[in-house]
Amino acid sequence: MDVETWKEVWKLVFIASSIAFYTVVIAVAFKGFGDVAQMLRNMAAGRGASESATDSNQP
Amino acid sequence: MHLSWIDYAIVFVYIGGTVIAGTLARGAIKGISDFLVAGRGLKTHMAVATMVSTGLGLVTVMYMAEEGFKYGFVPFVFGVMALITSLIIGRTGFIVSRLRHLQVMTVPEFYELKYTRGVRLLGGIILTLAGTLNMGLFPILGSKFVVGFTGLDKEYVNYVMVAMLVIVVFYTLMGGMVSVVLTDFAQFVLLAAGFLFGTYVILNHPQLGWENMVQAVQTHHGDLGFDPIANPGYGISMILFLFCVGLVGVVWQPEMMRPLSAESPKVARRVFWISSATVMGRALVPMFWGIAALTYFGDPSADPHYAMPEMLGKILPIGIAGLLMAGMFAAFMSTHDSYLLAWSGVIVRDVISPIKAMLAKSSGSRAEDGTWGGLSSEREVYWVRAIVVILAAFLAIFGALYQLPETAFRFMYVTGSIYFSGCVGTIALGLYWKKANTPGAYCALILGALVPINFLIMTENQELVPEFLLPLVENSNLVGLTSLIVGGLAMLIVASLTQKSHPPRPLDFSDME
Repeated sequence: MDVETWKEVWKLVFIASSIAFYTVVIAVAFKGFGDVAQMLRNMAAGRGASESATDSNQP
Repeated sequence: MHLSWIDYAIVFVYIGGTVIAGTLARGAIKGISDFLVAGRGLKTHMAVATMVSTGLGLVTVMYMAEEGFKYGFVPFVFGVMALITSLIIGRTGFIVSRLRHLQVMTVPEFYELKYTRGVRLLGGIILTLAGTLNMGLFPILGSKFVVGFTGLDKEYVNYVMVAMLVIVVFYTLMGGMVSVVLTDFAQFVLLAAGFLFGTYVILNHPQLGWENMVQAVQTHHGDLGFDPIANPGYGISMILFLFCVGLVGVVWQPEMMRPLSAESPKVARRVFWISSATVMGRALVPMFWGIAALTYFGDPSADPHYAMPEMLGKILPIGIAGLLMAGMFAAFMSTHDSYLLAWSGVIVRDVISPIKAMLAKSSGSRAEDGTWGGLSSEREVYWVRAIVVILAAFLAIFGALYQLPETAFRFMYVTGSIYFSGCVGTIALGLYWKKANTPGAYCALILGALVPINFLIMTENQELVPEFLLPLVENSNLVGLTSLIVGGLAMLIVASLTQKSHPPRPLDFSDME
């Protein structure tokens, strides 16, 4: 591949990686907020991490 | 000083909030599995957030930026290889799903399940050595960023390093993995915002922007700044090494702690699948900032550790600079807390505890609370906390005294190879090859680690190195690749020859999700 092609490739790679990165960040931040709030509630209730995990894994 | 009081206020509010959240988490710690793997209760999105935060430390930002500064656009190939390997792991669950299914808390714990307590002890020692060496540069590079960004006098770099370590150690001691997960979530959002604003300002700065940066790389590096195959610092050997290490790199303890903390093997696999979309961005954005620093100062001989933060400190407006600074503090904390916890956990569970179990001649079986007949769960938590403090003190001294060979990026990869090399044989083959046995594991661990350790010794004593070995000193890519091959071959050959004398232990994955 010549240098001009490499320049175009890196530009495309940079744009694609940025879009993917920020999309995942927004989605994870939005969906993970509820999990964090639940974790804080469990802590406030004085419950250990294992106990909370056991409860949340039960059907 | 480049920053205003508003910027500093943002930073201090963030640090205060982090310390409070970390302190609150103390109440959630009832035993060693709470402390090291958050009770194995992490759901997908929290696990992704904390994994991305750990992988995107301030030191990562610094050494990736250094690569961009020194090699131009060529290091972008690292991001591409990371994407490919993450997709493979996310799709297949390679290593991750099976280790989570076995319910281990540390990677060497697998060695006791599959091989013997002795292999676990050796693996724990090698992982400790590799991990602490690898982490040795983290605090000093983070401190250099803060000093460069704020415009503080460079003589304060060691004081800043100690202050930052003290904050991290404090909240990690309080809540272990629970603190780490909670703070990582805030850090994840904050540092992503810092990335976004920093990149936006660079792209729109009159001296910078994409075209100016391409021109600067062409001027300072020529065509070698764009072509990874032709660049002698990269080339095919580096690309192959990046691919191999990307696949087995998943067994790096701080990285593996997230899947091991996930609520099921299925979630562990999904975490990799989702976070694979971020791995290219995590690498490319800091590299892009490094290229921007080269463009801004126009001096390839400048110290890249200071050039990138100095540039950001000068071009970012008030408020955005504070946000980025808080984001970078977040990046510093998210990596240090995880690494301190990971290595301390390995030292206690895979070195101290097995030695105590051997001395007590206890049976090699796992108890309900996850202990193996050495220290009790409460004593393990106590010792992990003590080792966190000792490790932090070691890091402060190491960072202040050690001089880098080549670049920080290469140092990280060579020290990482000390452990990865043995992993191909002991973990990858141990999980997927029925004939993997104890003698093979010993040989894989020892022979795999010898190659990169030799490199570190030879680099310090180049005048004593025979001429035919000089390529291994001058090219760290070859070292990494050679050590991976040696580790894998050692297991294949030795295990094949010792099947009758040392029959392998079977593992059952039939009911795995």
